[in-house]
Amino acid sequence: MSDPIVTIENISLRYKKTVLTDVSISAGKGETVGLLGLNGSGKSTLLSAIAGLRKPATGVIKVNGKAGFVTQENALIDELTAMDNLKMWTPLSKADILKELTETELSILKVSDFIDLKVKRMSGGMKKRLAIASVLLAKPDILLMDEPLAALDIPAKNDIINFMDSFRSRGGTIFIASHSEDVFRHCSKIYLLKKGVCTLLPEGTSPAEALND
Amino acid sequence: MIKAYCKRVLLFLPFVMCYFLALGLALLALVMYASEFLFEDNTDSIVSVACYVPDEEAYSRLGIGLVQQMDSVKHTIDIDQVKHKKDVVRKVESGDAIAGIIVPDGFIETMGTPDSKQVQVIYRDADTFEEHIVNDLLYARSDLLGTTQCTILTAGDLAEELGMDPSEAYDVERTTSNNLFNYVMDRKTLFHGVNVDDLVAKYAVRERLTASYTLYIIMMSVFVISFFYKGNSSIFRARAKLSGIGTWKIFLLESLCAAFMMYLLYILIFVCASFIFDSMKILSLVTVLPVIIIVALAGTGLCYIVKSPTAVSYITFGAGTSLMYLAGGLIPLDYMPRFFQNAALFNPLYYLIQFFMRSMFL
Repeated sequence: MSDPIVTIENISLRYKKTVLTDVSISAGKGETVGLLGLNGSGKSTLLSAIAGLRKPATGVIKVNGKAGFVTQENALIDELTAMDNLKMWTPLSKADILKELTETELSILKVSDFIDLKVKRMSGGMKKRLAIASVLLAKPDILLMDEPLAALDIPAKNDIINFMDSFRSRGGTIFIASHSEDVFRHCSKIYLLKKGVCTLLPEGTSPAEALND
Repeated sequence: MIKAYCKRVLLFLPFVMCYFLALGLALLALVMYASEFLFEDNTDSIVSVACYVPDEEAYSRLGIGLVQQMDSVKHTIDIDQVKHKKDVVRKVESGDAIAGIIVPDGFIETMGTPDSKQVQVIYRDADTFEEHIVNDLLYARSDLLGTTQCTILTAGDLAEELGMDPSEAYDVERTTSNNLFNYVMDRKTLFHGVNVDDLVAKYAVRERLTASYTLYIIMMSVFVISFFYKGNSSIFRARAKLSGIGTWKIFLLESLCAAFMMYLLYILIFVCASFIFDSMKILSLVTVLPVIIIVALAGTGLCYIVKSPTAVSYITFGAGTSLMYLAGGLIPLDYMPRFFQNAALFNPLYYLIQFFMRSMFL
């Protein structure tokens, strides 16, 4: 395995009723790490900690690179168009943004198809594509995705999964929290968060079975 | 980012304007109704007025006695005659009297001449609706003098019945007769108002309520702009942090946008109010800016601290309205118990209203 780009050593986290204790995870370049767990098991809390938005009570988190966080709730402004929303997060010009959206791996997300549409008129899939694109414009090395496929239709799911594969293939690291089995098929390793404990699932273990155990 | 925010303000503005125009019209109707209520003629309250008349001003004493018997006065004004000028000021300052009248020495003798002396009307600036009563008093006093003169001119015998020297009564009658026309024309100049608290001009109830309601509308706009922002969303701030945009930068940018919206709102109110009030000051378009910036910063800060727009609405409508009420912004403090009047001095909104009112009308 390549040198770890994210190293989490024995951290403890507390948020509301969620408590995670003694969590240790590492991920190298080109890896996709899946976080599996029931609602409230601490997946989002862990992603926030990796993003540096939440400080662990104990332990250390080392991140060697820029992190981009695709949150469960899209940080988009309803009254603005897709282009205006993208411009909020990048100093790039409109032409450069369009170039990024059409000539790089971001083209998989097909955001340029609805670039002039206001967010309030977009479907859930469009919003999620746009949210991911707005994060990706900052060229992160690590992508943290919280439930990216929730409530999406099949084409949108496929596009986002294709994008994840493309991002990983060029050396990007992805941490993804999800309930979707489709996502975990694309993960190099899966961690189960249950009752405050984080354990690495052995290869070949079905996520559904692991949750039910 | 700034461009995107500005564009957003412009997109959002029609909604904000329509919302507040409706709210503004409703409140304006309330102000008009309130002012009608406040100036209702058939009030049954009796106010106390301290009055000093020099011993030698027998005719003024006579006039006071006559006025006290007038139906329009005896049910509304209790005239408390005092022996010294300083007692008048003391009673007004202590609140025992809402206004005071000091008749100068030689008032009658010089009335209508180039050396005529003014009657001092003393009042405080704490209670604006009392100004209205003082104004009424001025006219009542004016009528009193007119009545007195008529009495002197047409009933010479009355002086004798009162035990006065007939020759003195005749002299005064002649003098005042000669100057009657001048007196009637100038009678308003016979009075000189003295505000024992402040010599700055005071505001009528309607102006005060208008200023308060305008400020209230601007404060309530915090509730609407909370929906405008994702600033109350931790997600939005988290993304900003990760993107290298400081929380403070976003906070200031959003405050600026809020202030801009509030300012446009004020301009709208200003234009509408200018049709009603002649006293609207064009300079207020500049002087209200500090208040608007304070409210914008406080409102945006509230959106940051409180998690949801719903919670912002609870706080804005709940705490904001209560504080505005206690500051005398919705109902004049004059109608409130003394405790509330004193408590208002500890309410920051009280001072904000004062400042806003001065900005708009002074």
